[in-house]
Amino acid sequence: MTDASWYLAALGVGLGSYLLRISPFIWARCLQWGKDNIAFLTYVSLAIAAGIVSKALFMRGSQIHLDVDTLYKCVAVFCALILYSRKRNLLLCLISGVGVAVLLKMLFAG
Amino acid sequence: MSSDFQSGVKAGTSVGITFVAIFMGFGITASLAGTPNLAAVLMTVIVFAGPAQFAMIEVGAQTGLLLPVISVGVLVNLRFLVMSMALNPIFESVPRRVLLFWAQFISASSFLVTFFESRKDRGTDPFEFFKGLVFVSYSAAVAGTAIGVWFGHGLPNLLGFGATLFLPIYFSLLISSDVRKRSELIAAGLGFFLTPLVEIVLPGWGIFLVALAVGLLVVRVAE
Repeated sequence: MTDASWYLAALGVGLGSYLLRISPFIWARCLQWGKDNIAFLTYVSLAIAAGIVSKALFMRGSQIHLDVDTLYKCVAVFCALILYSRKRNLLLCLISGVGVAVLLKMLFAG
Repeated sequence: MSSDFQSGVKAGTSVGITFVAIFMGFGITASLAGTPNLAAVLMTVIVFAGPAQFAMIEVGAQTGLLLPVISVGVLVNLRFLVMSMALNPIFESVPRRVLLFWAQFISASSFLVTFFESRKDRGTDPFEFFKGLVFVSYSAAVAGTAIGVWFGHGLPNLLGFGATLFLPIYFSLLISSDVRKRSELIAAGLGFFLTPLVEIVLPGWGIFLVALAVGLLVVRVAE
């Protein structure tokens, strides 16, 4: 692709994405939001969040990738969750979890 | 600066660190694919959606054609429709013309963190919180891309490995603190197990399709 094409691509996708982002704020305001719709959107949000977690843990590109790094990541998430159930401090648990994974990789990656 | 904005900035710190890492990766990929450095930064500024940007680079490098690049970028971003729909009732009191500007900064992270915060009933103004969150995450994305295209090749791998873990750990903690009912736990569980499987079959669509299917299924079963 030429340099100009890359700039045009950025503008095109930017415009298309912007229209997707704003359209619900334009037409969905005309709708009444029932309890079921709110529940549906809550489930959708939780499924998206959980999907992002599993994708980050188990996938590389578009393939499931299970190796020793996957194990470090799972241990890190598990440690963070255990710590969070006791301390309820989000930032502390987050940094501890990442720290555990980095430490494991440093110790066992040679 | 309101306290809700500051809360958003604070919540955005972990998202910001992750975004620096992810978009640095994007900057390096774009640079290796022959994208002009400024065009790569412009992509983050205008598109602000990591998965779509990676897809654009891949398709552009493979086909060399403009139309497929634009199509794939927009299609991968279809999930923004659902996210804006979910944010609409939360931002009900915000004037439409204001939202027409701020909607540009909706991403999976800014949407989810704001959504979870709004469910905590702490009296936080969700829109101010969202703005604080966006302030950090958007700056981090642009900075990450710039670092990636200009300096990314010399950074140690261990740093990148650690940085990519902030987002999954952060979302795991948010889910664990936010799930209140059994139906919500089932929705999260199904999202967790099904997303990678659908991603294998339809790369780039797993999160979006699974979330919609899970939402419809659990609402139906919960009824």
